[in-house]
This record gives sequence, structure tokens and C-alpha cells, in this order.
Amino acid sequence: MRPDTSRYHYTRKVFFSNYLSVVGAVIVIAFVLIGVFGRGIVPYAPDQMDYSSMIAAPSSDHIFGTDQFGRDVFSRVICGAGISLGVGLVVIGFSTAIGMLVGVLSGYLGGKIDTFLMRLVDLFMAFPPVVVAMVLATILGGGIKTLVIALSLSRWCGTARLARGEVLSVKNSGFIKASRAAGAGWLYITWHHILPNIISPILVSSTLSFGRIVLSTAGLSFIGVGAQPPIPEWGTMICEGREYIVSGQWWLVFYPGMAIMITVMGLNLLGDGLRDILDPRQRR
Amino acid sequence: MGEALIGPPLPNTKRLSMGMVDMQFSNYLLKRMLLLVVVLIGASILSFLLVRIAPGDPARMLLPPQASPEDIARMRTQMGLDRPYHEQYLMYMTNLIHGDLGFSHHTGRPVLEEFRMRLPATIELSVLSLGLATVVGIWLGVMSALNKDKFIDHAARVVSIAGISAPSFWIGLLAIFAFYYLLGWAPAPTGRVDVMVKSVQSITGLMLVDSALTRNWVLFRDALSHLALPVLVLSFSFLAMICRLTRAGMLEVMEQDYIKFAQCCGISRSRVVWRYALRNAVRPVITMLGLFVAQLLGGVVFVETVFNWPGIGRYAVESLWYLDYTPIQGFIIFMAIIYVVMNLAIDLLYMALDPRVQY
Repeated sequence: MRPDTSRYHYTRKVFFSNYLSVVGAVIVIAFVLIGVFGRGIVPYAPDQMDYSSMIAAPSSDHIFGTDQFGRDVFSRVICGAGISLGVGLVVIGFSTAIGMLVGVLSGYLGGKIDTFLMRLVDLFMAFPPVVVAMVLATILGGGIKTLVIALSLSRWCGTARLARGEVLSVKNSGFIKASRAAGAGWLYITWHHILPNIISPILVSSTLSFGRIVLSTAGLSFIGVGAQPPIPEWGTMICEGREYIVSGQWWLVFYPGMAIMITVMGLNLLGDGLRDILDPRQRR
Repeated sequence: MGEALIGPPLPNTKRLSMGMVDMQFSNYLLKRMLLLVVVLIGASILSFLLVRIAPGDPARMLLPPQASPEDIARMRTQMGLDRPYHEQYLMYMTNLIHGDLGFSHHTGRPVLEEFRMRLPATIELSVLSLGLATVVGIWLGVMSALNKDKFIDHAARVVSIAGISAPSFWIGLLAIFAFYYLLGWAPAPTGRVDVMVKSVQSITGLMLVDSALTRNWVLFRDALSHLALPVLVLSFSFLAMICRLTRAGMLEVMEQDYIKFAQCCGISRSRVVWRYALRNAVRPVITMLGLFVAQLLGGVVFVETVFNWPGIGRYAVESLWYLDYTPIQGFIIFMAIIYVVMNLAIDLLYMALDPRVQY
């Protein structure tokens, strides 16, 4: 395939003309790098306790201070990136796969299957995702694995609706009809013609929901149904540091929360930038 | 804004002759009622399955630890747990229709009673938050659209990016640190009123209304000071989203010909902005309001946990901690009802604001 230079230049121009999306991209790249290599570069092991310096304020030894067991908050925050990244990627993978399967089936087959699947989506959408995930995570019994399952099951409906709409809009195009007239089966048409045409809005919405997943992971861990201590998950750390905030030990809560905010902000900014490029209809 | 791409379907703006409008409307209402029934049945099935999937024997949980296997078996028969699933479901539905939501074993009271006690606290918190977020969010959105790329626009944008990205429970904890620990302006995060302030007989259950009705201004001030931080924290992220939507809508509408025409006619700027432009610019906000309410109910869970607010959200979290599933079942059904009712209200509001919209 010949590289489409004008399109490439356009894309680059749009992306770099919006400095916020560049900021977002830098944050996300840093987040991914820290997530992958973080454990190797931290000054202390995330679960290394030190009873001689418990709840110590930030100093040159521990730049983010230490927690109630004398663990280094900086090291724990850095290691937390890997957990959020991993959970986010797996959840995005699962929920997008489920959502696309349901959406494509629903949009392409139509009829009774469509009605049934869309009522199912309506039903799931009647509850805030966080509540669905909260209930599921508890029933399945806490921990990171169940958190991933719960979040995936609570987040597929949006993708399903989006995919269905996109399928409906390309389903009756001339090239699909031509392909069918040429004798292509539905599986072939779906894979070679429908999927490539619906993938970019779904990609954009997945990037944007990555941020929400990071927030939900932290939130569920905060109320005690997600990652369990001593895992250095950001929400779990905030939960553990919660009781010290009324006596003025702010660093236990401040730094993990800051990490969440910066990461989610980066993901949102990058998602907005990607939307401008891949999905010009949604431009604002 | 992943969900922004989904939203409810666009309203049908087809012109109809006047005689057909009423019929069309009653058809629409009927459809809505059907949806209500479908969602409620779905929610009841979900909440019924919940307890069956969850680990642990519900009969075992109601009995003291020293209960013998015979006692447990008797309890199972008494609760109907030995019957087939469809019979159990019918039993559950019958109870539900009679308003029996079951028994909460960690508080030792019927779930319905617990809900009745805690609902006012949640309503007070969420209605005030939603109101504050809507008013301030729309105002901020209009201001930043009118002063595009000036200071207030940049400030509003920073606030809204932060509001969307930061977890509400973290903002809540930082607010407690700043306003309770450092400045001493806010009371300790221990619920709705100070233990030292004498409470009044509950009339509506809403502290502010009750204390105002009985002219107990000490209590009123105390309740207000306890409400301030949770309301601010809960409204923050919604304020951010409403501000973004209003700004985008306003920028688009202000370019329209009818706005320019109105300005050419010499109509005052404030009238053009607040009467003509805003009415059209807030439409996406109203569309999203239904989604916001659903998210608000999710947010309530965290904010109530952080501020020890005795509402429905914290009750649900506590029930999860105690593996007490009956309140969770009630919570699911409650959520579904709120969702359907809110969507109906928003559709009606939509029609009131835009005469072109018909169903």
C-alpha cells in the first residue's frame, strides 16, 4: 500500500497543533514506561518495612515520606503504575472484545437478536458502572483478578452500542453490497469490510474509557472490594492512609492520588487528541 | 468522554399535525412505562441471581455460629431455599411487590426501614450537589465561551480537566485535610450534625428543611456546615462536565445567524446570551443529565464513605463489607427505579424547553 503522505501530514498537523494532546501523549508514554520498568528503578522494595521510620514526612531519604509500616511511599506509587496499566489494558481488551462482538452481531444480523441484545444493553446501562463492578467484585470475592472481571463486565455496553451504530451506518454501503454480490460470506465481510471501518471511533472511546477504568480501579480498591493490601495499588494506598489525614499526615493520601490524577488527565488529553484525528465528526 | 458518543437516541423532530400530538404522546408514555417494567423485571432477576451466585449460605448467615446442621436445614426450608429456582424467584417477586425487601442481618432491621431512614441524607446531598453543579457549571461554561482564550476560559478549562481526572474520594480527603485540619473551618467528617447539637423531631428527614421549619437556626447552621464539604466535592466532577458541554454548545450557538440578527436588532447582550443563546446551548447538557444522575449515584458511594455520611451509598458499602446481600438487592432495584424515572423526567424537560421535540 502506498503511504498516504497528505493524510499523514494532516494527522501530524492536527495532533501537534493541539499542545494539550502532546502533553497527554507525553504523560501516557511516561506512565507506560514507569508501569513497565518501575519496579526495577525504585529506591526501596514496595513492601520493605522499616519500623524505625514510620509515617515519616517527606525528606531526602524518602522524597514522598513513609507510611504506617515505614514503607517508602515513592516506591509504592511508582510500582502502582504497573498495576493500573495492567488492569487497564486487560479490562479494555476484554470489554472492547465483548462490546464489539455484541454490537457487530446486533447491528449486522438485526431483527430479534438485535432487539434482545439492545434490551440487555439497556438493562446494564440502568446502573452506574461503578455500582455493577462493586457488586460483582464483592460476589466474586475481592482481589485483582475479580476486579478485572468485574470491570470488564460492567463496561462493555457502551462499546456495544457504539459498534452497533457504526455497523448500521456502513452496512448498506455500496462496497458491502458489491462484496456480497461477488459471493463473500458474512464472516469475510465482517472481518475485511466492516471491522476496518468501525474501528477508529471504538479506539477513541477505548482510550477515553482507559482513564475511567484507572479511576474505577482506584475507587473499588478504596472502598475495599478491589486490590487488597499490601498490594501497592493507588486506591488501596489512599484507603490505608485515610485515617491519618485528620491528624495531618497528608503524604500518605496526596501522592497516590496525584499519580491517579496525572495519569487520568494524560489519558483524557490523549483521547481528545486522537478523537480529533480519527473521528473528525466529533470535533469540537 | 467515552459515554458522550453513546447518549440517548436523538429525539424525533418530525412535524405532526396537532391532533396527532396527544396520541403520539400517550403512546410515548406507554412505551416508557413498558421500559420501566422491563428494567425493573431485569433488575429483580439480577438481584435475585446475585444472592444465588454469591458464596455462602444465606440461611447459615442468619443463624448463630453454633447452629446445628438440622437447624440450618430447617431454616433453609423456612426460607424456601430447597425449592426450585423459578418458585424462589416468584416468592421473591411477591415479597418485592408487597414492599418487603428482606432483612438486613448486619443492622438487625428490615432493609426497607433502613432505606427510609437513610434516603433523606442521600437526597439532601445529591440534590444540592446536582443543583450547585448545574448552576455553577452552566455559568462557568457561558463565561468561558464568551471570553474564549482569556484568563477565565483557561482557568475554567484547568478546573474542568482536574475535576474530570481526579478521584472524588481523594478530593474529599484533601478537602478534609485543608478545611478541617489546617484551617479549622469545616467540622469533623462525622456525619450530618454534631453530636453536641440537639436534633429535632424528623419531619421530612431533610435536616435543612426540618431545622428551618422548626426555626432551630443552631441546627440549621450546623447541618449546613456539615453539608458544605461533601456537596462541594460531589458536585466538582459534574460541574466540570457541565462546564465543558455548555462551553462547546455556547461557542457553536453564538456563531449562528439568529444570534447575529438579534444583536443587530440592538437587543442587549445579556438578553441575547441568557435568553436566546443559552436555551439552545444547554440542550446537550440536558441530554447528558440522565447519565450524570447515574454517575452521581455512583459518586455518592465514595463521598458518603469519605465523610461518614449516613446515606444509602455508605449503607451499600457497609453491607458489602459484612457480605450482607439483602440490602445490596434493594440497592440494585433502587438504582434501576431512579434511572428510569430520571430519564423520563429529562425527556419531559426536553420537551418543555424545545417545542420542536415530539414523541
